[in-house]
Amino acid sequence: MFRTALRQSSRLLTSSMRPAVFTGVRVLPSMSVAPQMVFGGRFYSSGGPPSKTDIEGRIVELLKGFDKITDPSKISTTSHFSNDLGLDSLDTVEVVMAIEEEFSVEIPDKEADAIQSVGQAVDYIAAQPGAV
Amino acid sequence: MNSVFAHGVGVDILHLPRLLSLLSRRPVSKLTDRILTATELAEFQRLSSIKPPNHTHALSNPAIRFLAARWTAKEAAYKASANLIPTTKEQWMGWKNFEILKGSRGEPLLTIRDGGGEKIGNGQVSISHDGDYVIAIVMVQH
Repeated sequence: MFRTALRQSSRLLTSSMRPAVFTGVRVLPSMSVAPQMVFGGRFYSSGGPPSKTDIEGRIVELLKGFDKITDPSKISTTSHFSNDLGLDSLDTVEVVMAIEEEFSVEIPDKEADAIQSVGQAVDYIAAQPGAV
Repeated sequence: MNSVFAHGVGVDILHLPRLLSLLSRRPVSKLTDRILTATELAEFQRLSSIKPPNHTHALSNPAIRFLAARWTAKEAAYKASANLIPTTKEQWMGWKNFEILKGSRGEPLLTIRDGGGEKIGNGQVSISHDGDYVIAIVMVQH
């Protein structure tokens, strides 16, 4: 109830202020609901866990949805969230949430805080048997 | 002054619409579960039940302001604790190691605990709000 209420109120309130922030990330929920629509046949190829290349590609794609990253060409598998992409701690918390949704995993606090770069995120997800 | 006490100071500022924007995209619990301690979370829920965010302007909603102040103060506390933060993963410290609760006179007080819940430091916090911004300054002693 609170969630709905908050969502409604923030929608009303943020519609005028949102442009400053990465509105692009709002496409992510639909990506995680129907990833095959976005990523083509990759998800049909096998029932096993995603390969490291898949994980890298999906995390890079996900980061492209963040409006705060003004130059998406800077996003690579070696990018550091703050040093290379200019993300701050609040952005990083949101990136980690988006990664959790993308791969249907829950990342514990300790591990989540340790994820500060694309490479660290890829390594973490690759080690999760439950990641999809 | 006793030289065994180390001191540190840290500051952080938050633009509230950024927080609202983040909260609008996911369940609020995703963020609150990540950063608030159990006691802080209970207070957040209490404030939410008294005044749900849709009953007031979100920027002046007590629950939202509580969350914004906690985020900002924890960031400031983290910076103030630079020489306290261990470098090994086993001794890692995160959002929940820093708890900011009100003292008897309503003043915010910081308690720093290690991973095992042992108190390892405390500090003074000053928080200020103006319109869309929240700022916190923290001084720690440990």
